[in-house]
Amino acid sequence: MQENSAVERIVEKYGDMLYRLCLIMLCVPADAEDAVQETVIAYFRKAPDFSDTEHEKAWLITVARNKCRSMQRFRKRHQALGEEALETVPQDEESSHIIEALMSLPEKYRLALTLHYIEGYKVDEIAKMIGRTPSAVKMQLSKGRELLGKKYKEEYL
Amino acid sequence: MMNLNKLSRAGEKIRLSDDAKKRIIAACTQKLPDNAGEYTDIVMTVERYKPRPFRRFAAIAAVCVLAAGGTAAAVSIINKAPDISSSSRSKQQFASPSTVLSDTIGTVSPVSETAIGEFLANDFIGNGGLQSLSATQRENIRGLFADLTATETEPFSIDSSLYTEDGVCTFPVLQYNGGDCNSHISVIGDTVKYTYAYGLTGQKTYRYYKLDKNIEAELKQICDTHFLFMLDGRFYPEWGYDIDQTGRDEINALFNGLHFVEAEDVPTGLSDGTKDGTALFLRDGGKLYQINVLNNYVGFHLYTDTIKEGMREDLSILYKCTDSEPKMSDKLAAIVKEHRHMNNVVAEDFQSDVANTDKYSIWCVTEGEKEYQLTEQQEKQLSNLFKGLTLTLRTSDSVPSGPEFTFYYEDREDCNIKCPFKVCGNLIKVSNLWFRANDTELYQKVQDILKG
Repeated sequence: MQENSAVERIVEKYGDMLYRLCLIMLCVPADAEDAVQETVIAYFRKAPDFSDTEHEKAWLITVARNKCRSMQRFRKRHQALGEEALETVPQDEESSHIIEALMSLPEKYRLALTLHYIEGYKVDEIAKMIGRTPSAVKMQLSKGRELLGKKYKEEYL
Repeated sequence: MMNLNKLSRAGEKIRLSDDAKKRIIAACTQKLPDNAGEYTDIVMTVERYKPRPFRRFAAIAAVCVLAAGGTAAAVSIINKAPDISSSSRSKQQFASPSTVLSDTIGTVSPVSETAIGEFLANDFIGNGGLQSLSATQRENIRGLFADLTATETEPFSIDSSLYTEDGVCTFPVLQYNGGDCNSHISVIGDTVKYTYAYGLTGQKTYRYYKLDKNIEAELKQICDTHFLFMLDGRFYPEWGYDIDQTGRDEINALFNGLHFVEAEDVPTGLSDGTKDGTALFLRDGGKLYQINVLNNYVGFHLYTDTIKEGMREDLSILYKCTDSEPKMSDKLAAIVKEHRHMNNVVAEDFQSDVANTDKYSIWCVTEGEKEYQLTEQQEKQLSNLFKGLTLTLRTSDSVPSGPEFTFYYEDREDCNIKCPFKVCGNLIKVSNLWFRANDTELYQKVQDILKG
């Protein structure tokens, strides 16, 4: 199996980013950790040669997203924990509410908002990552913002 | 409107705990248990069950063909494929190990009464995750097992020589439903190892059987030979063309006699997104089937939901014809050219949608970088404008130039976004087809409504 140091490097460098994405996709911390673990395993088994760090990061995000989707399919047949199991949202109330509102959105909006506003990717980059056109991503961001704002206002203001 | 900087800051606070990091690092570096080979299978099959990269290029090729108004055609060439119709999937829940009919070691039972039988009764999906099985293949596999009997035996290890250098097994592994590896059966000669895993990294349960027949070679042959789904005439065409019944019959006959295997290489023309080949489409309710044929290659895609932004691709496989018959796609193109007829279904569907303002909402219009959010009145005005037009399919190959508006509309109830349409001059683009409207001032009228 892989040397400890190589695995540690990947987990230290990308673990938080992957966990954020997986948690927002899956809403369950244990599942998100599993998805991160599977992604790291996939990295050491299947990763191509990367041209740069951004390429490596984008590859990991794509794999993590696919892992999350597999888990969501699996979850449909096996009872999963609800959002009440969520334990690791930020402790301050405002941040917690915003993330909860984000997690209540349909997946495509969650993903686009997370990649753009939390991970800082541009529209073109997101489009490549998720296999959509830039206009589709813009649309998802636009609609996502609207739904997020509405949800936050209704629930928490 | 929410301050989105708050979202950024909130997101940054989500982090893996130190304990979680340690667990993940340990899981990736620990020495694997004795069934390492099998575990390798599980990880590899999860990774391999992913959409193939060629599909985007095939889709681009197909769209280019359509936009050229060239050899694109809509043909119903796929039958009711129960393995890809969710409604036809077995509703039977897979039993947990404790409820599987128990066989004491040494008792001979028909396969139907064993854990293997229970597995086969469900929607096993692929051969080690490398491929998805068709309904015909699954039927053939069930038929292969039907008359067998199984004796439960002592556990056995799978010889490492049965794996390739990068850990891929050379024997067939049938996997249950979806690539999440909660159960699979490995068939080696006349023995079967059945693995049930609860959760992706959960505890595994194993059962071992000896069959009364060596079925490995026959099973591999079933998995390796693919049968294209055939026409049944039930589907209606997509994207502006019909194929008459004679054409459908000829296409049926063309595909019916051919054999396919899953291809690893992607041919030029599909890989570089050129306009080669022939694209066939058909729609069945919420599903869209797309087939791209280039030389002896066939790209087969199933999408769930009708054509719109965000449609989900459920299945994408590239096949290669193994028969000596060359240039399959030329024959197909010739049939399509002779038997296709234009129809107006795309325009009719579009006008019906935009007219129904109770169901659909035009929620955004863009013109370059500029974005318009519409009032209810503007939506109604646009709806009336579009539904009153007479649209005819534009046959020119040239792409319209000039300023254009892009309209985003969605189903009000479930927020499902429809494919955006465009207006450029007096042309309207719907589902990648350009139509000419009978109103030469169309663009100006749209502009007046948006600025009004």
